[in-house]
Amino acid sequence: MTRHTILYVEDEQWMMGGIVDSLSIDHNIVRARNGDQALAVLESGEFKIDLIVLDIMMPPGTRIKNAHRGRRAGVEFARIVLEEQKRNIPIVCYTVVNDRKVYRELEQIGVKEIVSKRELPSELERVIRKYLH
Amino acid sequence: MMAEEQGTTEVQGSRIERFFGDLETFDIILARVLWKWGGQGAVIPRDHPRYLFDDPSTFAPLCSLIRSLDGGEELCWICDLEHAEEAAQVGQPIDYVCDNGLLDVAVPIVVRGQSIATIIFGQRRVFEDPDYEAVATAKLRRAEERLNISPGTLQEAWEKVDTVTRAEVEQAKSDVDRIASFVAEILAENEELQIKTERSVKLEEELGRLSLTNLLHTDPLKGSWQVLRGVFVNMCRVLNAQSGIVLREHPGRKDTLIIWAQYPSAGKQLKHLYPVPGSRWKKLIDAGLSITTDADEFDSQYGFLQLATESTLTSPERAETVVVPVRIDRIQNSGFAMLFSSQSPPDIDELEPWLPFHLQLDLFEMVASRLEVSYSAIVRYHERLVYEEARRQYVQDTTHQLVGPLSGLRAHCENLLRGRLPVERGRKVLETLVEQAGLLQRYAENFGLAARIGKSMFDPSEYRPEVCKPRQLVEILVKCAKSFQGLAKSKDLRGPSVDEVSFRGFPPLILDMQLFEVLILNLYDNAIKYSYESSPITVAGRVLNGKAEIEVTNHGIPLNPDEVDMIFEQYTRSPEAEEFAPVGTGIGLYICTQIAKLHKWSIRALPSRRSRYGNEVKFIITVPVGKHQRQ
Repeated sequence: MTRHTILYVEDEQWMMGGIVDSLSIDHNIVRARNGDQALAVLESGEFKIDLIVLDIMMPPGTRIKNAHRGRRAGVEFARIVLEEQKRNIPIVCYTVVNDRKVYRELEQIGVKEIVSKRELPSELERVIRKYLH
Repeated sequence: MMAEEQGTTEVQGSRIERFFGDLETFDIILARVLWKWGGQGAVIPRDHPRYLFDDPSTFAPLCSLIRSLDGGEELCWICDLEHAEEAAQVGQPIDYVCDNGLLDVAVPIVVRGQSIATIIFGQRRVFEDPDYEAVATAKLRRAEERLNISPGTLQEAWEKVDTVTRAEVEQAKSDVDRIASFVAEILAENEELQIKTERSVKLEEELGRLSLTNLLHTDPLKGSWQVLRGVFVNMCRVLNAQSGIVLREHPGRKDTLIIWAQYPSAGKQLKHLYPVPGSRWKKLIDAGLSITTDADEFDSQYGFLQLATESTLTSPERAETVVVPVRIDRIQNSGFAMLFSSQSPPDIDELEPWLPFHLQLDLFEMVASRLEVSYSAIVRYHERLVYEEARRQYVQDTTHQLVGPLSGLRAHCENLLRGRLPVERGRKVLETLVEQAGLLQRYAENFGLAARIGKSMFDPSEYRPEVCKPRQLVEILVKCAKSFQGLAKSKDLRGPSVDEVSFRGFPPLILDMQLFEVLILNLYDNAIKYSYESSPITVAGRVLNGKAEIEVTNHGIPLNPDEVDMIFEQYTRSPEAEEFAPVGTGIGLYICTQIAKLHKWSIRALPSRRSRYGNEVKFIITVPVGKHQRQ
């Protein structure tokens, strides 16, 4: 089976170590703590990222802070990646945010799916598999 | 005197008719005073000149004769009108020989310095007064010429008119003048009541616009000021003010006043900022309603010479300025002041009712009181909104703070259950789980503590002090540091490391071990949360000037001087903190201050300074030792 590379953007890496453990069994995981780090990973071209798992409430970093115009950092990151940089990378949000307005915004930007952090890693894996071929 | 009513156009009613009320009573009183004079009397209002309540049946035969002649009515009316106006202008009773050669008296009714009507009576000859007779004879001749009748026609009728002495004339003038004063007094009272009632209704309407319901559609405080601006301009109109200003303290600059609203607008020419000592402003706000009639007096009281000279408060002579302080917050003595400058009395030709400010103080009181009540309600509403928002945010943040880590725990548990992890990794995961569960437990305890603190402080009965030796103190500090090992390592932080040597000279402290641990855990949690990666967190102690200090230092996001107090408030986080760590409740440091207070310690943060790792931030717990501690 091909090992895909997932960019996992999450500031609480220690707390969410279980997700990394789970995903890293079948995939390569590249971690970023905030929007700036994640953008740097994408722009460096060091890794061919196949999918992004994205937290919504995270520190923005300088670049996203300057651009986000009041949006949550995760939403703005997704906008930059999909609309501004026009990258064809599926994004799955994994978040505690339960706000329909934010969900609608993410859907309009083109985020593939939003998974609540209430779900177990197996559910996240199931969703991810849909977008990795 | 000519008695028949002139053919004037229909009028709305003169001022004396509008405000005196019962003219019939006035007529009766006048007739009784003038009974010696046959009861003849009439009143001519200045604003709508015509005869009021005259009675042709009481006229002297000479007057009735002249009235029946062509042009006779006009002759009498013009004569009465001219002398009524003369008396009104003089402001005192006068007597004169009318164009019919009879003695008449004109007594003005003077209300607040304005003659509003004149009482006319007379139709008598003066007894044995050669001077009078000479004038009367000449006037009779002239009347005969003007009425185009044969000379001597009126003489016979004139000689039949009753006579009065000069003394009787003077007595009558005095009696009728008393009646005129009495009428003026009643009229002034009625006018005042009516004007005040009308203004009160209009003011109530204006103030009603400040109601909470209207303000709900706008940002409460911002909106209230905007609404006030419009209301103030209308207040000036209703109160018949010539000009007015609203003074506020400059929101950002103490000791600077701002003219926040102005009537009428002076456009850009007006300087809006005035330096003023704070004590002067307090004096103004404390003053209560005050009236002043000249700008110099105003200046000597409050020192706002520029306002008096440059603003629209430059008042005409005879005008008044009323200062209406409105306190929004009585404790902090903050508020604003409205200054109204009165309109000067109208010209003699304009007989509009006019009420000086000093007779309207109750209206100003009403305005101030209503504004105070409205603003208190608005401020309370605003505070409630802020509190509700903070509470809503707190519940949301609390949920986020727990849901995230719980999801992490569940993820670990699922991985273990599925048996997908290597054995060695599984052991590490179990260790992580213990530490993460501990962290969650602390969060949960914090929420419980925050709820128990209530509005101000812990219940003192929860305080269980005991002696804590330096060794024990260091043990607590190290134990707390260990419980953050995994979290700190995940961020590549060094520490929290306790400088045990620095605590060697430490005195024993009296403290509640359990609460002290909570305090330290929260300080560590805060330090780790806001530290940049790969930076150190250190804990050190020192004794200085009878005080023992425990200092936690980290390197991370900046802490600005204006934030050092704010971050200890409940539900409050600095903008940098919210950005750097979006999930947080703003209760950790608040709990720290409450625990410190309970011990009679203090806790403070120092503004950050640049370091090689980022911004060095220090949190210092200060404990009085020696005598203070024993107490």
